[in-house]
Amino acid sequence: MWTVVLALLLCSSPAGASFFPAAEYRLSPRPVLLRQVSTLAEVVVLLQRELGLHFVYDSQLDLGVPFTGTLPDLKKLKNKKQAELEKIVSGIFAPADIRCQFQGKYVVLKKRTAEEKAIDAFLDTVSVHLLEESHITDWKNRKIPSTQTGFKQISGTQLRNSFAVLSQPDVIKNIQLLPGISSGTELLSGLYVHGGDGRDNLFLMDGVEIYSVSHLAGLFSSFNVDAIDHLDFYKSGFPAQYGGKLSSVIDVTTKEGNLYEHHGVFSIGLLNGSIQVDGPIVKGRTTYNFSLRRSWLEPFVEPILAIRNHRDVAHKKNFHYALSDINMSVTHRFNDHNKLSFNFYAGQDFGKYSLTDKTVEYWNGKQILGENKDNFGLKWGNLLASLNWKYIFNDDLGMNAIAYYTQSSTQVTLDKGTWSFDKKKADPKVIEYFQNEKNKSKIQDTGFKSDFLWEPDRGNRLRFGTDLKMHFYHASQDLLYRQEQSNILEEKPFRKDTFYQDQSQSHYTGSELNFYAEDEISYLDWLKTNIGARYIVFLVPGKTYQRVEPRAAVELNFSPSVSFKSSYTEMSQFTHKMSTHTIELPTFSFLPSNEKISPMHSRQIAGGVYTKLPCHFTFNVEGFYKTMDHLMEYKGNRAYSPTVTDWQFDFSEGKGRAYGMEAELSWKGPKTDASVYYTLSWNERFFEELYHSWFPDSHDNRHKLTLLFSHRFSEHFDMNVSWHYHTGDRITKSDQFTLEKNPGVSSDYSVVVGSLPPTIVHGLYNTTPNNFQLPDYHRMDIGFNWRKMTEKGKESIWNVSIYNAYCHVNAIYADVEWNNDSEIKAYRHGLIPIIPMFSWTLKF
Amino acid sequence: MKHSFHIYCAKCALLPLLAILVSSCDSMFTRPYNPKGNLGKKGKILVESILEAHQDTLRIRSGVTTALANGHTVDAQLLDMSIQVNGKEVEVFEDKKSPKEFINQKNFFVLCKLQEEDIIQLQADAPEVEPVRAKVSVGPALPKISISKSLEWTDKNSYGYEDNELPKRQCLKFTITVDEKPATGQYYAVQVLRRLELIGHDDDVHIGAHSDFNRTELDDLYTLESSDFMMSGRHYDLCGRYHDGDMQVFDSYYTNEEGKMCFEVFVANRRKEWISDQLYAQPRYKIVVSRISREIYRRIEKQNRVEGIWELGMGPHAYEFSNIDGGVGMLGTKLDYVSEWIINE
Repeated sequence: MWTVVLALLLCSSPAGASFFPAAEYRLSPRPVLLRQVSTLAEVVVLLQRELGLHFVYDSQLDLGVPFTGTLPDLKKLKNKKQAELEKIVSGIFAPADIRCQFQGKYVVLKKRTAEEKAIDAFLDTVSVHLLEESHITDWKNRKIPSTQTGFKQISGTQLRNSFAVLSQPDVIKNIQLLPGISSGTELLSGLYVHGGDGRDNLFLMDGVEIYSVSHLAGLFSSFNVDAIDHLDFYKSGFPAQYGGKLSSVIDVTTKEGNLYEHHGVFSIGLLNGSIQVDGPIVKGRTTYNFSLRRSWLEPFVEPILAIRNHRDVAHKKNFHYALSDINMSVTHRFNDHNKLSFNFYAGQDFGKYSLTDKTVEYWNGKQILGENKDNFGLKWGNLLASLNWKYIFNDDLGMNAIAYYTQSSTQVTLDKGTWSFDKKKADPKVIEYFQNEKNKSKIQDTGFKSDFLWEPDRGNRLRFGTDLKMHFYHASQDLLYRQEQSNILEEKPFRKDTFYQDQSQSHYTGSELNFYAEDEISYLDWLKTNIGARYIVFLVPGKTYQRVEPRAAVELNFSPSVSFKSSYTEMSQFTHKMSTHTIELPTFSFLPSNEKISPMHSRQIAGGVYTKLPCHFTFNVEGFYKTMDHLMEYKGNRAYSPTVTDWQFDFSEGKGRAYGMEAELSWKGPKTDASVYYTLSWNERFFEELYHSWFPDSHDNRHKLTLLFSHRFSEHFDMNVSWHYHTGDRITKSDQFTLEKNPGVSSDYSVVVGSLPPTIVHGLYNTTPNNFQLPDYHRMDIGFNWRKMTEKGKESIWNVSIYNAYCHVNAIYADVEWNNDSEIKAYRHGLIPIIPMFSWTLKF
Repeated sequence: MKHSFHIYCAKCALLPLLAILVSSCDSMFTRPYNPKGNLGKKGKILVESILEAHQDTLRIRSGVTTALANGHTVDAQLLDMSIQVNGKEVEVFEDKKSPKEFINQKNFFVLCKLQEEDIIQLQADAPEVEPVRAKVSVGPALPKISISKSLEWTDKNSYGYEDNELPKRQCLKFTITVDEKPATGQYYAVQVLRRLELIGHDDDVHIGAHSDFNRTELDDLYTLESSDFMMSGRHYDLCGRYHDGDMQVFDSYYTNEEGKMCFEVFVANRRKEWISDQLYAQPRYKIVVSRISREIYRRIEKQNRVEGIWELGMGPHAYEFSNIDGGVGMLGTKLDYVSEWIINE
């Protein structure tokens, strides 16, 4: 029972997140008992059910607060007149400073501002017509079965109110806080979920996959929080509708525009700024939502470099970096059962660094000028467009169909020119050496997917659908090493030599067809099951893979406040992100499984106990065991990007296993929220080509603890504090050595030449991979928000955030040194100190 | 009023708080710390040997390493070793004649000739250290190998790339055909030996040339892994090294029309002037083709790794392959085919 309420609480989805109203609304077969109502959200559910009211509320409105009032007998209310009913319902929400406005069949809930409270002293009714982000509860998104383990929904409001890392809250960094997840290198967007390798997470934006989600080497994610309505995050118990990646699903739903009013948010921070506007194109029918985010490093960096270059003309340096995201959606509602929306996203990073050194040589009194040049360029980004049609056939059947195109591309260029002057008297010549490198990679998907939700009776809820897509993979590397020799008096070179030239590329076309079906069966109050499967056919030239992935979940309700859930899932991954390192630089390629590379595969069993404790505490404990097969590990000798043509030979195949338990304790008060997340986990790998047995993964963080605290001091001032701890990452270091006689010392050690030691190190050995653990990681973040309503009714928010508040420079790697006195010296190297940031946001 | 009070308090509290935080900030990005809890306290038994099948004597190089954490060393003379071939115990002798490369080393030998697909199990122990085990097998018999040679002009360097620094010169190409179709899990190594014999006077030898004028040069070991396709990596040899000799060797590999594996080895003089027809007789060559065990291939493969960013833990594992359970090192086997001396006429 409580899980139903909990799911409804979590699923605070807006209109448009799902479109299965009637079917969804009849999903909770068991009534909400009055004695169980403890929060306003539950009151809303109860009133919906008992009185048939449809609530609309602003997403800023926190309905998770405790309900402190008393509920009248709702059965008697059914026969009341409308005016009387409105008065009673308003009275239910009044103690929480929430205004109820009856508009047709909807009940609009809105937080009363201080000004409104003052007005209320004189007026009984105030027209409520401004809805920034509407939530229509009878479209409550129930696509998440309540049987799900390892699920978390984060609303857009929660995201926007969370700690701002580098001037804006970030989706990935919010997910990193959750238990069961390792974040990898500090400040980057690593997401190592339940022992995953960071390249096995499925990111969806409005149902369409987005392949690369990092800006600026992972400092930012591609998701602009201003554009987000909510996100669903799964780390186990994956519903059958999701597939294609091993470890997690991050399903981001962007906001729709307001149906009646134009609104917007403007925000500017230290590193970037953003603007978001939305509103009606045709009132009540067609809406738009547009958001733009762009970095603005140029005004800081370029003047500094210009001054520097002006002072040092001979050695010029230029640096340019920009990132941008554009989200756009247009939605048209034909009627209550029929909606069409177009979503577009484009995000790009562009970086360029150039260095020019001018050289002057003299020959027979003649001045000869030359230049050494280095140009390094990076460009990567995503493009996504989708047409989404949601249609309700009848009260029991709804459909969501999407036609889409998505693309991710990278490009790295290096142009190096070295100038030298050969001063031979008889034959002076200028020699110029050129090195040009260009690495490009692109993946393009185009496809069509459809999801159906059918509720044939009150005990069955079927979800089924299909996804057909074509993948186009392309990777290329162009290398050219060339030398030109010219006479000092002639501009044209008299000799051109190409030392090495290689233009290699690989193209693949992959076709993927997915079918899935699942049925949530809930005939008994205490038992709910979800049985489903996903069938995938993946075709690449020369190979066809077929996989059937079973999905099963069960929920047992021991009591209204205690439930047990368990799930079993299998996932397969056919598209691989090929990279030689874990930094989010655009040196990776997306390539498919083929006849040499098998699809990665995972099996995961998870289970947990979910309780609602007295005094507004919730406590959940989950355990998981996960195995992964056909994992890939780069074994070649290229530093930054694997070869394009022979890439399948550069990876060794192995397997992994991860297991552990996660605990969440939360408390939610009227003004204060506090949460504690703890993870105890093991993460191991077996690569036969590397080591003969299992060894710990580099992100085998045994303990992880996160403390989150936020408090609203007033309507104008709130703060949040978080503390993060995890045991250190692992690296491989030599921990054994052998000695040999120093060749500079006589054989009997009696005569020492100079100060040479008698022995020197002959060999260094490491006993197991990842044998060395870095120091434990911990840091504290603090954020403050000052909110103020302007005279024109706009909300102004000043945010000050301090990352790593007590400036504990956490180790990213370590060195171990040893000398002949058996003295060990180890040094931990960190990069990230305290980082204060600020931003200003104006909501209009 | 309440609102103003909060704002005032916040502003007053924030600035001192920031000042305290910044002043307490540890600006040391690189700091020493004690890693001893991380490191093993005891030494490990080291076994580092390639068993040469078809030889009458198997030599095993072993020893005890010192733990970095406390410098504690166990005397290798206390090391005891037992070996089983196909499940039968064979007698192990201490090898006191072979030179020792490191201080705490103890060598063993076994009077035993291995056959194809024999399984060798090794156990070793010593007081205070963890006992070790290793298991390795000899590969299947080498198939028929044929070698042909031809002359080609090239300006490629030892990596097979065109190199303007090198004058275009004659290159001796050996084509080695293995009468075997590629199969999964087969590992080969190819190596070139060149014998140079001095016929001129010592005084004529270019300064800087080797003092051993009658010498055998051994080039890098080229290791290849066979699947149902071919692959190769160019690695430094565990058995012999490229002693800065005059050979410029590079390799290529393919499957011929009959589906059989072919290796091509190109040999050229590194510096033409160093090999003088007046000083040296026509060089003679031997081609060594080895069936190596998987362990050797893995070991050499991991030695050929890129440093730098990988050391930060952001790249693949910087770990050298080991099949010594409980210890360090590698035990492998190889079967050799050695050609007759081939004269470049």
